[in-house]
Amino acid sequence: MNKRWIYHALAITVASAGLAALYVNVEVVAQNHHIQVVNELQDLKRKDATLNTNVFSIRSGLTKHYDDLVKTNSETEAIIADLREGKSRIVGYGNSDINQLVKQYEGLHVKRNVLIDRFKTRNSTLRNGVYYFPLIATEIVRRGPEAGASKELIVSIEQLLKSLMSYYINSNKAVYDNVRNDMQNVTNLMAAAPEVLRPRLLEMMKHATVVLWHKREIDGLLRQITSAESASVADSLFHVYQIDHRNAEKRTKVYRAGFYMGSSAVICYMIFLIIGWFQNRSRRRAAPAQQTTALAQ
Amino acid sequence: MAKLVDSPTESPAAVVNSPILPLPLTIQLDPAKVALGNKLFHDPRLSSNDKISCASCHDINTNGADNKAVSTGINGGQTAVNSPTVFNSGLNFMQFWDGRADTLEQQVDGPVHHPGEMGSNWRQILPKLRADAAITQNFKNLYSDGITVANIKDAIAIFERSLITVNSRFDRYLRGERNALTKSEQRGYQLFSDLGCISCHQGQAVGGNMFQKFGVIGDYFKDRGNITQADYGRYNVTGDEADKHVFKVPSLRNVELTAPYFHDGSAKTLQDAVAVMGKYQLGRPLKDFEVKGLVAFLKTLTGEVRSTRR
Repeated sequence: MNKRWIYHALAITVASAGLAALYVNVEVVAQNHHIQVVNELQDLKRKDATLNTNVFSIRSGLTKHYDDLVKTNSETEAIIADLREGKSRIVGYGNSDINQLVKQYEGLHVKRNVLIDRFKTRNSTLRNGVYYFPLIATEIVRRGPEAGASKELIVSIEQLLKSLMSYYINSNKAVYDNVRNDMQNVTNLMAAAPEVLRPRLLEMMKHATVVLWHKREIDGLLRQITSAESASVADSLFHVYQIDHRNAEKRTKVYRAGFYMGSSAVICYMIFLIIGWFQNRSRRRAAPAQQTTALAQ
Repeated sequence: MAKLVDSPTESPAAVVNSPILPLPLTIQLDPAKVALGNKLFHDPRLSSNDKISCASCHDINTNGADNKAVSTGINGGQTAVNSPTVFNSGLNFMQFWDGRADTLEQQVDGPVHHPGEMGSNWRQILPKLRADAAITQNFKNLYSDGITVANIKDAIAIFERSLITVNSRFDRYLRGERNALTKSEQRGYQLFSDLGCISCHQGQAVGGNMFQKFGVIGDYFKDRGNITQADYGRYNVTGDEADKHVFKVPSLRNVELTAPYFHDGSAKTLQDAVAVMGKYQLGRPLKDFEVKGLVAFLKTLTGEVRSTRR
């Protein structure tokens, strides 16, 4: 093999490597993957909204169990895992904004989980408190006079019953302050209450405390859960991904054009080489024949 | 993740907004992986002395647990808390009493590494399993990358997810079979609902989907005394004061068979457990007829284990 052919082989190898690099970049935008990612990102936003609906539905008593909430949560986690390292992976492909947003969403989800767990715990306790407090309060009001309770105590309990139930439905600062005052009044009168009523009074006040504190805490938790930043981060992630995808598509078009042009050039070059090789071979075959003819002459 | 399947006839409209939901009669899992997980679950090579398997504390031929207040691990070591039943564990939203593992796969690491339980690690376990031609082949058939830590955990978790206790009398009642429960059991369910037990024990697993403080109204730990680190529950995971004495609400399915009760195994009978719950969670000492009614209802939650037993 002469030197010229080594140069040709080298040129083809370099050109093929270049084409392979272009091909890899052409393949970056896989439409199936893109569609899958878009679906996942939209699903992430939907799950975010569903989670809020689950929480409100539980709080209002329309849903009487936490399974739907837990399920939505697990599905959200599965989507995050998929975006991070699964079939719809978008993390670790060089776009720091996307990496950052996925990380941020994950962090917010973890924080929201803590709030949701607390919400479930408090909500269950509150439900029982709201059931037991009026039950015990009305029982004491009914039995109280017979057991020797003062009229003042009975009136205070009735007042607490009204204010606490009102607070449960309509929680605002004024009603909250009323409840605290009414609780204080009952507590002050408890020392003079008949012995026989005291255990029930203590029980009643425990439930009243549960309702007051848990209602207040749950209101706060609901605000935090439903106004969580996660929805806007999911929106941003979707937006940033779309921009990234459009840019990748533009780049891909350039790479694809380069790939096609490069491929055509390599093919032309190879055709040129093959033609050249055939011509050389014909020339080489023709040369000895001419020599033989010349010798014969 | 296991896919729970219900045929359309299994969920009558009456069940839709019920606080307790029936378990599906079938569950879609790869049977070959379930079988492999079953083998691993019973394999003592997962412990450092080759004597303790998962099944040592979670006997699937009885109640999925071991009927002891606390379990015995390698070299006679004892666990800090009661072993919960493995039945229906796939329905739990988190694993362990304190919820320190999010999934069954993560949970496997706990007992394997715990010095008082199996006292082992994956570097010890992998060569032991790889030396077994049959199990190696089994893994090769089911997983492209053969025996790996992730695949071992996956198989065990899939097997555990298969262990659901279906078709309890209460589920049949929920599905519309009104005479599946006696009148007294129905009254028991009414009590369960009215007294507020259902606020925490709800959903398909009748619990297992939330945390709750042990001692909402009364101070259980003060009365019991001798507080251990394990008694702090979720606090041990989060370090948050609000999580002190907070535990995962256990599932009540098959509860009739899983004595002793609570994380400390302190309640020897179901009656004891119900009475303690009434006092410390609801803030009222339950009357005898209430305890009896509740226990009668709880016994209707016993179902059949569908997975292959060994």
